Amino acid sequence: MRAHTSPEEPSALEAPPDFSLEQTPSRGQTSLGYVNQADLTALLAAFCFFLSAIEYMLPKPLPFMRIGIANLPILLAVDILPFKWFMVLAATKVVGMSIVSGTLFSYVALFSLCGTMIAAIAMQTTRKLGKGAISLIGVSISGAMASNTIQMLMARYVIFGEAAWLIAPLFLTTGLITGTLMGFFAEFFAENSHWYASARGISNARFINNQKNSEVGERLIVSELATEDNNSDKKSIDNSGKTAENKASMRKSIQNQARIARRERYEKYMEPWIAAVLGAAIAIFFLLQKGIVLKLLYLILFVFWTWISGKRFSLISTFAVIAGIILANLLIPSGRVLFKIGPFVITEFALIDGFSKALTFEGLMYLSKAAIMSGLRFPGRFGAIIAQAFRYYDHIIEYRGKIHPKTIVQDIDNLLQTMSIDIDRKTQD
Amino acid sequence: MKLASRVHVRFLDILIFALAALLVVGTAFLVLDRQSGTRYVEMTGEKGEFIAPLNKDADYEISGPLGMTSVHIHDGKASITESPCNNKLCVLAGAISEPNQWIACLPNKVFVRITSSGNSKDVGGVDASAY
Repeated sequence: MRAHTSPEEPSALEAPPDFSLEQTPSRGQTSLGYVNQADLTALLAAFCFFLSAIEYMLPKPLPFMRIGIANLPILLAVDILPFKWFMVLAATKVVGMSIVSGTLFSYVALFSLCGTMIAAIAMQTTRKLGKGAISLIGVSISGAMASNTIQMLMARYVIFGEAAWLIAPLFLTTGLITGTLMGFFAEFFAENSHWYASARGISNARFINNQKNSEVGERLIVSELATEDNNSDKKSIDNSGKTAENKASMRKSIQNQARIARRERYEKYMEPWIAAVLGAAIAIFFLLQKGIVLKLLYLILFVFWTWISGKRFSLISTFAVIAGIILANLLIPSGRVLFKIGPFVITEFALIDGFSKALTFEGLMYLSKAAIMSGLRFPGRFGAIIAQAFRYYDHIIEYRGKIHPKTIVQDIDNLLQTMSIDIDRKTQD
Repeated sequence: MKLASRVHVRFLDILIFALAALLVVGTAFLVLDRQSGTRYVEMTGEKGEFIAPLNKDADYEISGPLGMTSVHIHDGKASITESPCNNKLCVLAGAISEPNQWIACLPNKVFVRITSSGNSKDVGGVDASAY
């Protein structure tokens, strides 16, 4: 697994394997001390974005199942950040990732927000109550279970209806397993990371924060955001260059370039905040629609808008999601019996209700994709932190050190230390 | 860099894991139980069949040769509240909620019956033999 985009090039700046804080000249031990809570929060959030990009590339057994490695920084933050900043980190992670994936206005973001915030509260609570008798393993399990339980309840009441209970045991089991594994990894990392040790040190030095906190708002630097989307664009172009004889991939590459051209044109003429405000207004109208035909028309319009925006989308997966939601709703028959397939009864009300929910779900998804541009920035201090997290994310993906599965703990530690020193250097300049 | 070889699992970690596992198993049983015990109201009229879950309040209008028969599902019970027949026996029959209980409006050819999904454990028993 490589953390940067140009694997061929020998990386001159690659961190030596035994790179550690003690060996960093002059700034050494004190360097992390200059990092304030806001910076640290933004760095951890950026690390969440990075891990979620990695997770995005890993295969998933089922569409809704994720390992949740993006939660690792939050888990580590339990002992690093004070409660307020810990909650800011959780919120930054959700909002930032929703901007990167363009799901901010969709149910996915709502699910993610509720799940993450509840998990954050559960993790803090178990940590506070457990004190020395609990490690990050228990903290992680409580977070994962809290998150999956709330998402389960939301799935029941918002999308799938009664049938949601059917996947509840599977969903909760996944949460338990991944939560336990993440806990073990986090605990192992915490035991071995120099960065973590230094970061825990600063959380006590509150006086430094007070001095530095006010700067964050002013240091808002808008950087070109490298989204997941952009990364995979580059990748697919590279690949098609190597296998030029493959006609299918050639065509795909041409389509991709056309899409990128559309995206550039869209970004040239559309201001991110205008698109977002427009999207939010239309989302309210859309949610008030009851008629199924109107909803369908809206969806088609949103798909067209997404096409214009040059965002990546897949109609096949849209159909699959719609079919899945309808099927789940049909499991609990309701209304006039239309026809029967074996023991399976197709009922009118369940069908219409399921279709309506599916249209709402996918409609918001497309609307969100089209309306949330990656250049979107929020005002205020929270917005500044998100912007900064994006900036750090750019740094992380430009990082020349490598991340190998075998030495993952040291590699991540090196990455975080390098980042912290970088931040520190910039803060002092 | 030398790595610490082991992770220390604490007492509360094990307790939380056990509680979480209990939650998972509990949910699994609850789901199985709900599934096997879900009751439905089956309403058959002249123009086809309707099915509705008994645990969700709803009103249905079932058409027959005389007109509309109103079925009212409320509080886990189903009853006929209005029917265009002369004797109103169906309205007088009251509410039903147990599997295999039924109400019929013979003049309007409307038949209302409670069914249970999954296994037939619920079927029979005291209520069935009481008929």
